[in-house]
Amino acid sequence: MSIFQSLSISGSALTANRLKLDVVSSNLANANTTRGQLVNGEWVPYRRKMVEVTANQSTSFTNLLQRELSGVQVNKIVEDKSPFQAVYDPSNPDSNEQGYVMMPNVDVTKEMVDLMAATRSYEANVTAFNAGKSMLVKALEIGR
Amino acid sequence: MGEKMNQMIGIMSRALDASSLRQKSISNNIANVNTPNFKSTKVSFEEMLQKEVKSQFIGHRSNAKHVLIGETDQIPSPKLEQGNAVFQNSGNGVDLDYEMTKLSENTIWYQSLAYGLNEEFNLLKTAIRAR
Amino acid sequence: MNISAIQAFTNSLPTINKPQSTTDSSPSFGAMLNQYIQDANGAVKDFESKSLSLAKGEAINLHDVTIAAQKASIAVSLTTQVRDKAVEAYQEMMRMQI
Repeated sequence: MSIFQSLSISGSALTANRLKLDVVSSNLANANTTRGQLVNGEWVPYRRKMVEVTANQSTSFTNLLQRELSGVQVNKIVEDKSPFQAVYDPSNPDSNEQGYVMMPNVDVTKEMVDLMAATRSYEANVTAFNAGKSMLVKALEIGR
Repeated sequence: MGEKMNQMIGIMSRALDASSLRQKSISNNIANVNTPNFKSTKVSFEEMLQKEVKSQFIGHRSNAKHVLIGETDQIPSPKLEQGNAVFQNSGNGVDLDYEMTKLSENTIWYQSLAYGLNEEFNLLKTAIRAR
Repeated sequence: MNISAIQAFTNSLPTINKPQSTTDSSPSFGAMLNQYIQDANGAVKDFESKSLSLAKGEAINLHDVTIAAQKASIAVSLTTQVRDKAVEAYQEMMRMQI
């Protein structure tokens, strides 16, 4: 817990948001990728990825007042387990016998909403970072 | 008179501590605006200060042995508390707009405290230097 | 000649008392100056320890360091001024023609 703790907290949030942004970009880029992975010799469409975040803090809840404020941390990137969308398109080379193509479970509108949320959160954290920095600079001016 | 000035400096230092802690708490809340099941934290200091230090009325003592009214030596320390509200489906309890307004308010509070403290020191320095 | 009469007479003359040794006016002033020096020393030590914590990256607020710096500066400045004025007053006293 140094004097730059508040800056580290905001910094951790900036990292997490940038990672979220990257994941959203990946999802949007692969919204139509029917050949995502090779599983057992079969092509499986791209699965939407999500980011799992937790608050970075010491896990001792015994003394609330000593809980460290340490920002946010990305735990892992998980895949969305929701089912693929089946789209009827017999002319597609990837369609199965009934003429359905399994498309990735990426909903573009939802991704755009996530994008805006991540951007807004990023900007809020930049503001918090600047506020913390201005306070430190001001502390140095005491007595100047 | 020296003790009063010393108390002033002590109170303002403690307020700066509170403001600094509040900045960390707000930063943490903003950082965790999307974390599921996160409960926001806040810092309480002003109410405690208002109870402890009654600035307006100080009893006049004709004899140093009489009991002092209205002055106290205790300066409260800032406390970190946890809120209980829930604002999102994910169990997250952070209201981003509230935190942002608190952020700018706190920044200005810190800067004014630093300014006030600086002036306090300047007064002392002027008093020492004046012939 | 019998001087015993004069001797009896001289005994009754009032004797001139030696002047009282001037009471030291400095113990109270010296103690006060000492107190100033102690306070200044304490303030400087406090500042140095906080500065060290800062250098080590320990849990300290930046404003604590700057405030401690100011307190130390003011304390030392005050002590120096008190000493200077005291020395000046002493010199002034020594210059007085009796």
